[in-house]
Amino acid sequence: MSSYYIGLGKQTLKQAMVYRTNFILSFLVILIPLTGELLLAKFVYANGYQIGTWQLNNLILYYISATVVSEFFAIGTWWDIGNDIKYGGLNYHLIRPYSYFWHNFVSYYVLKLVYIVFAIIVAYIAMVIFSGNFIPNIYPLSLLQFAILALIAAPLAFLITFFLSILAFFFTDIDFISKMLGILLPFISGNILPLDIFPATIQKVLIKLPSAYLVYYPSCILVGNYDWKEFFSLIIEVLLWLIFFWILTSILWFRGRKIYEAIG
Amino acid sequence: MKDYLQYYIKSNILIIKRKAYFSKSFIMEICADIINIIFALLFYQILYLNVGKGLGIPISDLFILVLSVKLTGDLYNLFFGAGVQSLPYHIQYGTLDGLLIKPFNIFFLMYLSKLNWKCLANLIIDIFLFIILISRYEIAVSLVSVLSYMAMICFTTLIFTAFNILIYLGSIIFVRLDAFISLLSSFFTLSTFPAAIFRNSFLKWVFIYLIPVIVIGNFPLMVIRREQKGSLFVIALTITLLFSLLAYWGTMSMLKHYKSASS
Repeated sequence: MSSYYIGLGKQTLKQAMVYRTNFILSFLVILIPLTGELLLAKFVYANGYQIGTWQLNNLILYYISATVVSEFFAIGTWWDIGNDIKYGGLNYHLIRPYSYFWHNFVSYYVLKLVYIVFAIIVAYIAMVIFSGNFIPNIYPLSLLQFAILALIAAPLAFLITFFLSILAFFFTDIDFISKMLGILLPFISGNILPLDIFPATIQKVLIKLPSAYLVYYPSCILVGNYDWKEFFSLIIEVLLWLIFFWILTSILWFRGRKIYEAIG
Repeated sequence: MKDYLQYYIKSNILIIKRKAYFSKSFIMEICADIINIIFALLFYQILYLNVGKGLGIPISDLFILVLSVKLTGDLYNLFFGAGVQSLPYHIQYGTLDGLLIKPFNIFFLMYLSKLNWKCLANLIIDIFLFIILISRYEIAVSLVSVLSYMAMICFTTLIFTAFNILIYLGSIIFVRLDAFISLLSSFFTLSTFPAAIFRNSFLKWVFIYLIPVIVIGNFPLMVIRREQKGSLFVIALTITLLFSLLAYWGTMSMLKHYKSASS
């Protein structure tokens, strides 16, 4: 069975490489608002003020990391899954001897990997321009913590995406979910502003939402704000979210399959 | 003129009938827009709570800046957006033929004949937000400043429309240019930032005359704050004329190269 997923991964990779220019342009689209945020931050610091407890170089690194990370651990509705359910394409997958979840997981993350390679290149250039440093100030320990967290955050992000996409079993149109998330997520995940500068009450809520574990915490880890004790408690919290969404998605998938009529 | 008016009214009544049919999605879209603008205002509110005067201008001005950009965007989407954005579709699938054979000016048919009714609701929300803003921050406004502001908003809307027409005209050369369009359009997200952050004079020049990002949000703010000199209106008028002429010339040149049917 693993050979199927490897083959699928290779095939998706080939398809993704055809659209490499599109990937670069798509990431540049995200980079332009980021430029505005960084210019604003530099302007504030040049006036002798400071945003929260952040040093300017750390804030620049945070913003750039958050932009890349939010693309890799993005959550939303995935067009492929929604369409499979809406137009009956799911039939094709259900009669085949593989897991529909893992099939989509592989396609999704292979596409993301290609995208992220281009994103890192563009983000590195942005970092050099804004901070003036050719080598990012990231500790090896932070990279290790980030890698461990990524192993849990990636399935969590996909689980949430899968969960939202299979809502298509119950609703005729799930595009609205995607649109709402596109507006809400940058704000509540810490992509636009670090969550620790929010007013205390809002902050308490936002830092416990799954979106914070996908953008805010991974970016803070890269900037180097965590010791191992804090890190392990963070891992436990992410694992709890993972288990919660695993159960929720399983229930929804089971119920959805029951009402699925296998017609377009 | 009478024929044009009849065509305009009839086609837009049909659009509103269609919108009424999909009323749920219509309401959802408006809700999404409201949340969007609230978050844009919250962004500055949170920053202001942290750095106060470090932002360089008062919070009320930042809110006016954000609302001015939204107002320009909503006016563009209300009157021109639907037509401009359908240009790549017309070229890709050859449906421009249907417009070319109609006995109306092609510029009118392509860009000016479709209203986006959702944005009418957005305009009402914008006015409501402006009233709250003016009363909450006790912003002194006079009839002259309101009229000047509205005139500047008309300029910025025309500039934004002409710029978008120029971007979408690229579809005559490239069959798929979605990512390119998104890239150029994304520059306008910078219009919600105060002009002071563009400290490099070359960057400032680019963002006024080439990609008029600063014009869209900051010029209306300068007008309402009575920082306007005659030169501000002269610059705005010049840019409006320049971009409008370019858009018109570009459209007419594009039509000469249009090959019809999925060209």
